[in-house]
Amino acid sequence: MPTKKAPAEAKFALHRIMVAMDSSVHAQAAAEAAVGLAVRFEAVVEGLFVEDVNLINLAEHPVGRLVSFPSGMAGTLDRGALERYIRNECRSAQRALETVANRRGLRAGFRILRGRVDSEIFAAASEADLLVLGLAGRSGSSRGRPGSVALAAAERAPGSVLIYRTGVSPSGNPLLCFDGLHGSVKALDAAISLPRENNHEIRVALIPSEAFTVTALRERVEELLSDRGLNASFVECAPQNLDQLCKFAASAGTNAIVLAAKSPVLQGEGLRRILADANCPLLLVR
Amino acid sequence: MNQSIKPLASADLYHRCAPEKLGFRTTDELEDISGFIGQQRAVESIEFGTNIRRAGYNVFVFGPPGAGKHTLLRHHLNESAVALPVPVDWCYVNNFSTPHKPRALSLPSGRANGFREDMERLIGDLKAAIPAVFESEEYGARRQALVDEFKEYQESEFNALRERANEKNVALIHTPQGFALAPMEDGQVITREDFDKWTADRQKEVRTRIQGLENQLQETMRKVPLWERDHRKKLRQLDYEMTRYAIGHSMNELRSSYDALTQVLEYFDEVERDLLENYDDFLAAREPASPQMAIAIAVRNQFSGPPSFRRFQVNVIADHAGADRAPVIHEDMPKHATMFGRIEHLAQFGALTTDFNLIKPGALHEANGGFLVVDARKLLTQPFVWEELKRALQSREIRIQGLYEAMGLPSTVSLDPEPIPLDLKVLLVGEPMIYYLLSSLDPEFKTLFKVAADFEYDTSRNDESTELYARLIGRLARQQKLKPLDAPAVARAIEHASRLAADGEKLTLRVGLIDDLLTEADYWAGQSKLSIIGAKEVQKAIDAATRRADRLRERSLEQIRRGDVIIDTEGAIEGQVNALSVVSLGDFSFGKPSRITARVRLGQGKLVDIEREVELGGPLHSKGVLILTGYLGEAYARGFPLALAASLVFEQSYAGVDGDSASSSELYALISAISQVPIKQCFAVTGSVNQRGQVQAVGGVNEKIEGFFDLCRARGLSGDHGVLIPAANVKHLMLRGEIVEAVDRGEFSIYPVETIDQGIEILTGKPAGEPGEGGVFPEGTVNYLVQRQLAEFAILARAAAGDKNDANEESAG
Repeated sequence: MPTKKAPAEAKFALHRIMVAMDSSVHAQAAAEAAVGLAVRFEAVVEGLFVEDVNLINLAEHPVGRLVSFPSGMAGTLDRGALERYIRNECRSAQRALETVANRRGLRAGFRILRGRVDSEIFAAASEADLLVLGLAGRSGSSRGRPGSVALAAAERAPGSVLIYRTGVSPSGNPLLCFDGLHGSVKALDAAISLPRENNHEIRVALIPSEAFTVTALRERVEELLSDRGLNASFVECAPQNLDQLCKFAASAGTNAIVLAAKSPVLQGEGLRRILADANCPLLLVR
Repeated sequence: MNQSIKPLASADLYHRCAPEKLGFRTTDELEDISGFIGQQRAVESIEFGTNIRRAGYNVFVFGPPGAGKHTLLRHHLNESAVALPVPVDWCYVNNFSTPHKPRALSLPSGRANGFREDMERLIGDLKAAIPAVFESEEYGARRQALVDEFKEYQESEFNALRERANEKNVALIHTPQGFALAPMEDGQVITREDFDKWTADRQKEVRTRIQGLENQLQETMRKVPLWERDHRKKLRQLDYEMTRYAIGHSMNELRSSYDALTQVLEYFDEVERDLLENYDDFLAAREPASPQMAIAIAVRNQFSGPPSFRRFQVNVIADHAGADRAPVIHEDMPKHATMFGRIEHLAQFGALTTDFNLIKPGALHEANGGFLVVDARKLLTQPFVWEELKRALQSREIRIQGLYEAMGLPSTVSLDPEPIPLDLKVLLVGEPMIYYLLSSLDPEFKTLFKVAADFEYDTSRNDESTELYARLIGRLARQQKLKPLDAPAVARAIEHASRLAADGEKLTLRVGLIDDLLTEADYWAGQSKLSIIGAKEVQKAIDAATRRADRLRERSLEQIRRGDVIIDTEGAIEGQVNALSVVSLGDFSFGKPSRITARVRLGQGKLVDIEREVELGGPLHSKGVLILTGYLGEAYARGFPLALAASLVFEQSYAGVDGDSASSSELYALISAISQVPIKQCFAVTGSVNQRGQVQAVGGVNEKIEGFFDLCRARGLSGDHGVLIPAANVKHLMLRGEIVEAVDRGEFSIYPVETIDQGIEILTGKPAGEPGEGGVFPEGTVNYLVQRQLAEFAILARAAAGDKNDANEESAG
């Protein structure tokens, strides 16, 4: 993310950013994004590594069995190797964050916790304004689909979450998903505060519902933007056609999709689909 | 004295060519001579040899240097080549199945270079087209779909297993080492402490469950390689399909251009197969899309080198674009590599490597379908060239192999290119000696070179040949862009041609020497700022050439004049005669007087040739000396034993002597020594003799006469000086003008002799004498004195033998 300061008209503020780290490429990208935002919002950034209690329990377990991949050879778990792996994973995650922060002239804190990965992350994130994490962990998943922690964070994290992925161009404009509810107004503030190629324009995907027609949504956005000296360009996206949202985001050069985490039309399968198909980071505002 | 032997008149000493009879003013008026003078036999042989298109009818052209062999061949072969079709082109291409055996492809004449350019264009197009297809959205989407499908399938299999495990309260967790199985409760792996609290039965039961799941997990994992293989196959099929699409249009376009050429079409099929199998070479040639790919490419390059498109190149070996006739190649450096081609190597990381692009053609490739002219001596002095040429002509194919392979020695990794069919007429040009040696020593020679083209050394001099020779001189002048010659200059050149032939009734056919003469005469004309070459310039060219070459002649003459070498040219001395020899220095030779002395005593009929005794005399010289014994016995001692011991020597001769041209001189010395009649030293003698006393012709007569004349002139010509030559040599006389003039003034004489008796009378001034009844010579003759002395030797010998017998009887008694 660019180091340019957030515009004065923005109401979205970040003071403390938590980034969940492991040694995956997605986490690396998340660290870059977190440090970029910290610079932009003059916030404190802190890394978090959770030692998976399941792995630790597994290593110590008397009946635990390991089937090696890809050979299929069965055997007992090597506790020493597993512990070494966890330690190395933690060390390289911390080093990666420090390297990125040092490059940008920041000092990043780093916390190591032990427990269930998702619950420990969410507990720690409750102390921060924003949780940044990679789309998937080290083991990865097919077709850029989100990992279990990212999915859980999207659905259950206590605060705002930025789900980052690799291969994202830092240029472009944010795309706001606007459904007219209070959450999306907050998301509008967040979108305005993110870096934009065109400083005077914001792109908005209008998601109509029984409560709000497209026209109403449009007027609402124009009203919200009128006193901030910004224009908006609009695209209409029906809730049942959320894949169009991702296509538009890809074709329009989008650096992040910003949406209200509690938007009723963007819950469950819809949210999962956006997470899987969007070719850019996702900022869920709470 | 036999008054019938008269010295030769000046007209006999030089066969003049009269300029006024030539019938032109300058050579500009003369038409070019259309053929070659006096070489009809050689021309017919060459015509026959080149026109008969049968195996083994190659031609060996031989004759003297400068006879115009190469000129005649060039002229004739250029005409013959027009009648032959332009041969096909040849090129080497990669053999995709066995790369160390490159394929030879033939194409219609003039199409090989186009074929090479077409292949270059094809690969250039594909370097853009193949990556473009693989970078297209369609390819990316289809490939991603396959990858996702594969990953999803794998995930679904493991997820199904995970769900089954979870149903049985067993966690299936992906760890860096593989998949781990452990009991769980509420979605969490149970700690060791909690597990230990379980009853033994419960622990046993969970172990059994884990064991069952472990087996299922292993079963699933065993399927992974099969899934991956299927996945790779699908990816490969996709790549194959995309590559086929990318190359299809270009390949079809190319095929349509060569649709009648089966060999080429087969080659295109191989190219297409290779492209489909190795399409990734075209992708690797692009900038790597990611650091990982860059590392992978770097690693691959380190071990196997960057992808090379050299295998698609076409190495043109013979191209006849623009030719309207069969090739005629004159190879003036017939080394193994330049004749049969070579395989070059490149040094890479300390090793020598090669491929079909490094095959270089030789003269046989260039001349294939036409004619190859090679100098025989040069060819034979190069190692293995003669053997390889014979092999190629016998097998009728050109096989390229290095010298090491030809020698049967191990060499670096090399190629074994497909042999190219050979249809070639070879014309070897050389000296007669080489032809005769090959004929007698190499049994294969006559089966491969069935036609001999034997060039004449000279031709008869008559009005017709003189006219042709004048036209030849005119043509040479025009060819060499020399100034025209006037008629006296041409006449002088023709006279010199006779001198070069060493025969006044012949003209030399060593045209190269005449060519040199005209070039040098042109130079002297230029020095005198003349626009036409005159007789004076021709003479100056002859004199200057002689002057440049005659340092040794001058030194030899100086040694005689200063008395270092003793030669008498006045007075009369017993047993001593001036003989004449010729010293040859390449194209220049000169005559040199030598003193021969003979000493006689009582003996047993043995003639000692001192030259032979010290191994300075050659076999021909020894033969001449032995003939003398026969003559002495026949002429003087038919009725009694030849009780003579004589020794003969070339005084102050320190080099070898050969030839029998001094045998008459040696006989005169012997006769003088036996008869004790002195020989006039104002004469020199040349000529060989037979057992009947007839004087026979010798070589180098002009040089010999000139050699003695130069000495006598240096000491002052008295009018008595002269040379005795065989009468058979008179027709060979082409003496220098100053000798002719001296003879005219009566200062020098040349006597043609037919018999020894004639020579005796001239040399001694006394009658030789004819044998009477009983073979006895009349008193007062030289022969009488010889016979009497030999008879006395016989009596003395008999007496000596009687004394010895008496002594033996006495001692026995």
